[in-house]
Amino acid sequence: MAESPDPLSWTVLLPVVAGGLAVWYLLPSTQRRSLQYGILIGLLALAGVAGFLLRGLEDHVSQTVEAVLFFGFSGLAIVFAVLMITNRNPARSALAFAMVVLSTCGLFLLLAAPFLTAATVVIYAGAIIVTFLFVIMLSQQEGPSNANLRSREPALSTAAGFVLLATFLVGLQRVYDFRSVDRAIAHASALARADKIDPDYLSPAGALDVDNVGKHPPPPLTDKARAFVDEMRAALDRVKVAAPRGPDDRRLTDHRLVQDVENAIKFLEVSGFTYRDEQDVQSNAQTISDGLLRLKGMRDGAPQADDVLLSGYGRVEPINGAPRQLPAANVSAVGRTLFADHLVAVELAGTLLLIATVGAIAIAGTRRERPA
Amino acid sequence: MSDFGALLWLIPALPLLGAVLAALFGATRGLKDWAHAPVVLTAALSCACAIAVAARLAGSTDPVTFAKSSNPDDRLHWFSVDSGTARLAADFVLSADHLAGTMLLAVTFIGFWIVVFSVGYMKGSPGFARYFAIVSLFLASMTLLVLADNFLLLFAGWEGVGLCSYLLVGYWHHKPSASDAARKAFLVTRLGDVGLIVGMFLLWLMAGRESMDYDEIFSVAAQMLADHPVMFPAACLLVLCGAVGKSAQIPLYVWLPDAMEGPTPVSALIHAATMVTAGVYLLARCAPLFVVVPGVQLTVATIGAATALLAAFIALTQHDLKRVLAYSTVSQIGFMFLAVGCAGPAVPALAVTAAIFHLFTHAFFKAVLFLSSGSVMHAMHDVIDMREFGGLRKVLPVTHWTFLAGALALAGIPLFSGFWSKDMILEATLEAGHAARFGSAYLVLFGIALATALMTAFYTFRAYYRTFWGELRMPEGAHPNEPWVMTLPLIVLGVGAVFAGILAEPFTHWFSNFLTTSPHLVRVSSGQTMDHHLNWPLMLASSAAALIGVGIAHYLYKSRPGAAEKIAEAAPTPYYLSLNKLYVDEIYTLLFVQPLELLAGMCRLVEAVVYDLARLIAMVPYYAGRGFRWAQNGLVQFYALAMVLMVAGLLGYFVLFAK
Amino acid sequence: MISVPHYLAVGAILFCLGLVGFLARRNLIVMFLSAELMLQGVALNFVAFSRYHGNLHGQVFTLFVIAVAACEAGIALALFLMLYRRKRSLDVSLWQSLREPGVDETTDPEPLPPGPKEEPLPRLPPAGVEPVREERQYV
Repeated sequence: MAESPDPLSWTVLLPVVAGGLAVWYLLPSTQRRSLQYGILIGLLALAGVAGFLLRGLEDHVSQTVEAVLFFGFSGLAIVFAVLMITNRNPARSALAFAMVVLSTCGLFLLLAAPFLTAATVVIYAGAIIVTFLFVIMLSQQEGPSNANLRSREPALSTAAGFVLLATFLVGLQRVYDFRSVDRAIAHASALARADKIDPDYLSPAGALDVDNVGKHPPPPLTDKARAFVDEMRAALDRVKVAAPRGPDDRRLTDHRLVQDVENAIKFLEVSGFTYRDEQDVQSNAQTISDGLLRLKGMRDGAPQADDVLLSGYGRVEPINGAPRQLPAANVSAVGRTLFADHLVAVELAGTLLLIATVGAIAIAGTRRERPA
Repeated sequence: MSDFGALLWLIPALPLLGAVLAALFGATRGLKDWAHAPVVLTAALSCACAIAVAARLAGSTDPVTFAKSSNPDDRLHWFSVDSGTARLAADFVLSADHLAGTMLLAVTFIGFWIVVFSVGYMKGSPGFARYFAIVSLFLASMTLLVLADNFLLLFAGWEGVGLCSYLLVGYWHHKPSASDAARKAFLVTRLGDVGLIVGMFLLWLMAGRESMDYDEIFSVAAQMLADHPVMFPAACLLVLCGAVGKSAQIPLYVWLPDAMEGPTPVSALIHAATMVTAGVYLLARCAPLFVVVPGVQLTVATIGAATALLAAFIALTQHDLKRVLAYSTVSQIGFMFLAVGCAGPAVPALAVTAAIFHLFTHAFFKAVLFLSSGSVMHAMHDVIDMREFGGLRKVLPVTHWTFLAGALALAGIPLFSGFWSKDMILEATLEAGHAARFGSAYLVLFGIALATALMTAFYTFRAYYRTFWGELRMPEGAHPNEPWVMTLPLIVLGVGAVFAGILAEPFTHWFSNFLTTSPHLVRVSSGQTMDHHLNWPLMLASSAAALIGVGIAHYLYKSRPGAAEKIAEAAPTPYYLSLNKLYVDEIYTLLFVQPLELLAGMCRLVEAVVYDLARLIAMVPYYAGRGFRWAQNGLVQFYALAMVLMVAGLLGYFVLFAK
Repeated sequence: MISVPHYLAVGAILFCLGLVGFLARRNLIVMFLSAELMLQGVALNFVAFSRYHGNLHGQVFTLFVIAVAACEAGIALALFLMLYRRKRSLDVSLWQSLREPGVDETTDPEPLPPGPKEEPLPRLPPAGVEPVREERQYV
């Protein structure tokens, strides 16, 4: 991207700051703190993040069941995570972590990973949390203890963590902020579907000198036309990065879809608006709109006609026009991928588990006291 | 003859063997107290060999040589250096002509008796074996010096005796004054040695020969003077410089009084009888060179006379008995230098003979004086300040008589040995006074010598009366005893002090005849012979001087006690000048020692600056590391926090500012 | 539509919350739970990418993450038990002995607030002994 970076958006920073304050306030400390303020600020921060996710990245998030479920599970996960890190009682922290795991598994389900959902619930919330609770039981401390009632540099730690979070979110926004692209698409499709093109777009009529096409400079574009062309170009730059590269494509700009949109824009710039051919203008605008939409969709996984699915299936499956979907038979697909593409890793993981088992038993086994 | 040649190399080799054996005995647990035995034995054998060589020499004119032949392959090769344009070869060749033979007799005989004396004197002191080893090493070096046939071997012996002197003066090295005195002795003589070695090499350069053999260099003396009219006298002066250093003349005499810090037998052997006479021997040996340069001879004589006067002046007021004897030594060697300096204007044979005769007799009587004072010190429990004791003739009879014998000889009382040798020196000086060049100068020197003789008699008997007459006083812990190991050498040397002179020279002329048959002296004298008549007016004059000196001493110290203090109060300036050694040590410190110390201090300052600068730069990483030490506090969470902060910073930079 | 950046944002939030918990809490158990929370955030990211790229590599990697997390939990808890046995406390700030010589030990200047008063255990009269009865005035 050759443009200067966008200024920081307050839609990102405000919730992050609020969240940081809340977490810092809620962390255990020797001074008495009332919970209410922390909870209030935390909820405000959560709302701010939700707003960012709803409006900050796209113009319009459709209210579907998916969205409701997504925001629900995410909110729960975040709330329980904060509960987990700020609770003074380690047992309660463990239970909160179990709830975090359940919420995350809900998100997994939304992401078409049922096997992972089950596996995570079983292993994490089942085995690991129970083990934690056992260890908490074995290493109980009576009365007030330093471990539970104090924090190590709460201000600095919170600051560090939330600065990192701000960095992530700002980066996310920089990459995924497609509001301008959405606006460009809307603009282009409006232009394509309009009954009558707004005359402000078209340059004043000039004599179409067939012999001199391309030789003498065309009359300049109107302001609106210039703005339109710039907006389309900016949107194309924004969205270009999402286009996947095929095996033969060395440069992004060589991708066919990108080339199409590029050519359409150039046509509009050079001759479309100036030669007042409404048909051409509208068809090119449609091309631009479709192209941008499909490129944006590639971010979400909308495929190209000649996309190939590279996996260990052993065969190449072209996917035509439909958004990519993961196979419904998730378990067998995961199994196949595991043993076809990642066999070595599987074996190593197995060995690691074995060694970890042996190691844990060896470390934690009761030892006889050495004779003094 | 080959057998006597073999004897020659035994003379230095036997004491060397004795030194090694003494050192080995000292290192062996059971033999430590017997370390003196090999030394005594080898010293006796060496003396016997010297007597044999002297006997052989008495019969002929040829010198006894060892490994000397015109065929280079027969010689014992030491080293040779070839630089293309010049070549220098040195061989281990020993040669004993009559001059060397005389010296050998004196050195080995007196050395042997002093070794015997030391057995009693040093009994029970720690480092017993070390003492004898070094004394034996000294005897080896001194005999090597005397027997050397070339300058380089002479220099080897020269350095050897210097080393042994250092080791023996600093024998009680834990005493700071002793180690300081040893260092002073070594450094001051080192100044002289530098002159000697430069002079030697200049002579070799000018001679243009391939070695530094005496024969080769002396044979072209006149040629050298003709070719190098300036450098040749300069070389002679440098050789004189070496002699001045070793023999403690002006301006390098300051080490000898301080060298009395060593044990008394050491003072007797090294600083009275033998080492300090090495300078005189050197000048006698180089007579062919000095004879052709009368100006240098005058310098020699002047130095001698001035030193004699100065030392005698200082000795007038000293309280330490050994110091009196030390200055006396300096003064007497001044006489010998005066004598050698007369060769040229006077008949060289006479001058050299006078010097060597005085050397011979001086060895005896000075040794006996030192050994007697050693006996006194031994009895007085290491007190040698004359103010602490008196009237010792009642408790130390043998010492008393031997001291008296030596004192009579030193004072130059008629018929004792010192009288005859001093008289011969005065005669040579007088004869030089009649010479064409510098005659008047020599007459002045004669006057100085006569005055010095008077002073000599005075201070000698001052010491005698203060020590042995008056009320019997002894310091605390004094334990008068005279073991036979100490009295026997005293008696032998005392007899020598009394009779050596009269028997050897004035009437029988054995000594001068023996000495002047040396082909070396014959060549120097170039045909002139010394006449042997006795100069009665001169003898009368010198006797008068001596007796007047004794009389004054008797008056001041025996018949009227307290008279000396009154004179000292009446004339404080000369008294204090004399008592404080004319402040020469202080002047030297001011002129030489302190500027050097200043330079050393400045160098130390520069070095400190550089060192501190280097250390500062070296400490930079250390301090830089210490600046960051606080970050290593052992807390895992702190480390993790630091990592996270860094990562957040890096990512933030990239997100915000990077394109 | 909910797409990748939304899930990535949630994953980032979980990750950073876990990070804050790891850095700030002193209880070893809670520290470790925060580390596991970070792993959850990362797993969410992987699964989101897997969904929106249309292949299963992300899910497979998440499986490995779970496996490794399980091993890690086992060994870490064993180690925590050993550490507890040494110092009778789960405070991570007690383990400072690897600091540089010359650096002072980090201690807590403020005292802890006193805990809740322990309720005294109920005292029962010994069994078999009739309790002292108060004389009641029956009106």
